[in-house]
Amino acid sequence: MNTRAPWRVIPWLALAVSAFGIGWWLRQQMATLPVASANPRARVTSLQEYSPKQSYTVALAPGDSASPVSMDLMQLFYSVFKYVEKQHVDYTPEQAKPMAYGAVRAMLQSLNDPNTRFLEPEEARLLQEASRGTYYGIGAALTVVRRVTQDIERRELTVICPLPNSPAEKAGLQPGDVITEIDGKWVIAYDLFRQVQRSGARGNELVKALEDARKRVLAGLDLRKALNALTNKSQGPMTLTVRRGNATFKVQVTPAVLTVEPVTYRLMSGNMGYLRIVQFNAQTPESLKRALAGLGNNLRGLVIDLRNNPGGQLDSASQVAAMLVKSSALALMETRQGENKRRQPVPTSGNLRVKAPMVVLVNQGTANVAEALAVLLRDKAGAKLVGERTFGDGLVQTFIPLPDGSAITMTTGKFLTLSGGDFHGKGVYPTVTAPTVPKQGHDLALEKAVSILRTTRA
Amino acid sequence: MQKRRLSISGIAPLLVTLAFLLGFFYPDMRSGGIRRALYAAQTVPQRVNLALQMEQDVQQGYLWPVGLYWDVLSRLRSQYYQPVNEKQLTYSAIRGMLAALHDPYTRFMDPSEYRSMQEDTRGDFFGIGAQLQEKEGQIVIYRPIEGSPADKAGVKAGDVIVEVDRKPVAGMRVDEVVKRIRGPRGTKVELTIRRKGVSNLLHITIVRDLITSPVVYAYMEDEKLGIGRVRLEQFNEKCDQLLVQKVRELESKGLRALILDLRYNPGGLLNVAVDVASRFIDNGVVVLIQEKNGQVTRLYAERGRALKPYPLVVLVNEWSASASEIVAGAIRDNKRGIIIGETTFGKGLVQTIFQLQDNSAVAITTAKYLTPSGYDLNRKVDPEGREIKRGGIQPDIVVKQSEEMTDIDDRAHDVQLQKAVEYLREKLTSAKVASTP
Repeated sequence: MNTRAPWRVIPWLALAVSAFGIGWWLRQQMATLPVASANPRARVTSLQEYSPKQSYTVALAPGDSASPVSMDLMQLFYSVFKYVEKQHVDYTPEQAKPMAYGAVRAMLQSLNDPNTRFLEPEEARLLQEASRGTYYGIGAALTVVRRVTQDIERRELTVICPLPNSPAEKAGLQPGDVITEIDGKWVIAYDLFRQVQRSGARGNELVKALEDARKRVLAGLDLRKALNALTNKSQGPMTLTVRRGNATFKVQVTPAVLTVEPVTYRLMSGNMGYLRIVQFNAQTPESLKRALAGLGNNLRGLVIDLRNNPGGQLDSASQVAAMLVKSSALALMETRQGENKRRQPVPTSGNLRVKAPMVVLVNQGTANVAEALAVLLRDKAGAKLVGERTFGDGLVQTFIPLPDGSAITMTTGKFLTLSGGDFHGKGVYPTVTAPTVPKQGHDLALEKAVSILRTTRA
Repeated sequence: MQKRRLSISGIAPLLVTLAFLLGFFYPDMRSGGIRRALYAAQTVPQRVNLALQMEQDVQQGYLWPVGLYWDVLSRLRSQYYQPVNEKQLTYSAIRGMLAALHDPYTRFMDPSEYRSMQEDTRGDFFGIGAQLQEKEGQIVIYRPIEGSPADKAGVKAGDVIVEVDRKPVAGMRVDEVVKRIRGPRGTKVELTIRRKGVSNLLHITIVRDLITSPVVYAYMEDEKLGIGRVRLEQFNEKCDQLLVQKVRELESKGLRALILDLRYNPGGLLNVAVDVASRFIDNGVVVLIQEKNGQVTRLYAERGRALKPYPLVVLVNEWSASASEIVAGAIRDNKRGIIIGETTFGKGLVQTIFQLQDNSAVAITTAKYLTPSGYDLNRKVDPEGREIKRGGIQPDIVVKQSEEMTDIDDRAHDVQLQKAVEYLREKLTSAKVASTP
């Protein structure tokens, strides 16, 4: 009888183990259940639905659905909202929207990444129009550059490049210019209090410095307000304070509405083609096709001007790349998968249309996918890069519209060259250095490019 | 044998149940041990309720702060270039959501902030006896409590705290500064102070101690005409009785007109404010408490407690807050006296603290005080701290305090007090003229 006892225990043990399993499984189900079944509005979208075709889509990796921890967090957020809704003395349903916006804005701000931010519907609309080639405001591609000096982090509103014939160009803004003030209001770029505290000032000097800092911050514009002021529809003339290198000066700019023709071209003497790509928007591939047709099939050489090209949509740049060079990929894109990074090629699509030797003009206003394209043309088509070191912006920004018309832009990855080179924060160095600002009507970089092409055997 | 078989089949189902529970609470145990699991077990009904309620709400479709937050968090989790800390993101989202209410007193406390708040109110720590207030980004002393360590060390109302123990406080919140000032009884803290009219910074060392309750002070401002003044430092339990006692003292000296001095009084208990107001208002509303959905509760003056209806002036300044503002507003709206001084601080709010699932908490303004005429005295600010509405009680006669006044007892320079005395003198003498035709 005794020897049979262990055998009797086994079914119970098996039962216990499966009970453990069932308990664990049930808990997982409970954790994910509310989201899964409450899907229609809470988890408002699946990614595909709301990603516009032109934006850089990274597919949701499997296993990205709600994990138990996040479920707890959602309940936490929900509880706070419920308490406010039920208990706060001044709460009205109209506040739900500003609260939602406030939550998302603060959440994105806490990432400490100036390029990841929330856009209210109007801001989102302006950005979308800009991606179609219509700009409001000063007409310059702007970005926020992070720099750390003396342990103080600065986020400076920086001009990537002025667009052709824009108010910014007329005012003489150049790539790399930092806008420090708008109509005398400081564009808040760093923690001034911290700087004052570290300045070593003591006593009355410190008191005065803190007082000044307080006034300056209270009167200042945060980056969001500053960006809005520079890309606003209806604005009178404004005065910008600009820092270029070590010099600081003021310029007057009158904002306007600007439509950008993405590609311009002309045939130069000796059957040389000149092609300027201003940005990569939805019209750029078509516009390029027309330009190449206009230049004809028997070019002896082609100068591709990517100066002051801030980049644009990945899709557009991929199509452009396919027309200019034989390569299955434009660049590599590094994205995150869980805790790891993964690299994927960005495929090109379209037919090769250029057989002539090429030279590419670049300058400090050549940024993002334009930099990637320049490297591709250098590596795969043997094109020399003429001009200056490029801007060095390799981050992939994804524009994600949200159901109510607002949107977020988010850093989702980084471009690397096909050989794995990282140009973010460094820029791409030209093969041949040449000044890119025309002097006395002479575009020295272009002249250099033409002379290089003359000596090239096709 | 029979016995043993029975015991196996008796214990085994229990073991199976235990295994099930172990499995169910395994995630909690893994993240926070047995205590966390027990807490989770306790709150299961609550959580199930919450989850069901959430599901219902979301399907009704009106809860889109939650939806939007979740949508963006999901995208960050799957697509953002760097790994993200979802908990910190959620805390930031909650803070941002609450900031949109434009109510600085409705705020989120993460578990560590909540814990230190609880420690503060438990009274394990001792202070210096001075209330602090943030004003335009500066930490300013409201008023040192009379007889407190701060008072004895020479700290004065309006002093700006620049450093605590030689560490700058610029950009810090009041509660952070308070935390740094407080400490064990008998230990020292050094404040660096900037004082109006003093060119050098002052370094003042103060010994922390238990803070005893403040009191009511009485002064005879004009013995000939019988103009007396009572000054209330704060509304605590003893306040009402002391007020009566002090007024009796003044009456024995021939009191005929009264100044109620509420300057630098940061408030206190609501019921005490009603008691104090009842000493001046015999029949009428003292304060309206507006709750959610505009529901309004009237608090009436307690009949039969009023002092003699002396001509009355209430002195206030920008540091008079909460209960002080209630009393001043009640006296004005009941036309019982006039207000002289400067616009008051503008705070008449009640907060309730709700503890949340993960031991964080949220303080929510659940009610607010309106004066009997329905005036909302609350100051409003935007999320960046800029003022949208000034709020506060506007005096009938605005008198800015003299720059030369060094101390609340510096009567020679106290132009607000002088104005009050002058007003009552006029009132008393013109009443005399009227009554002797």
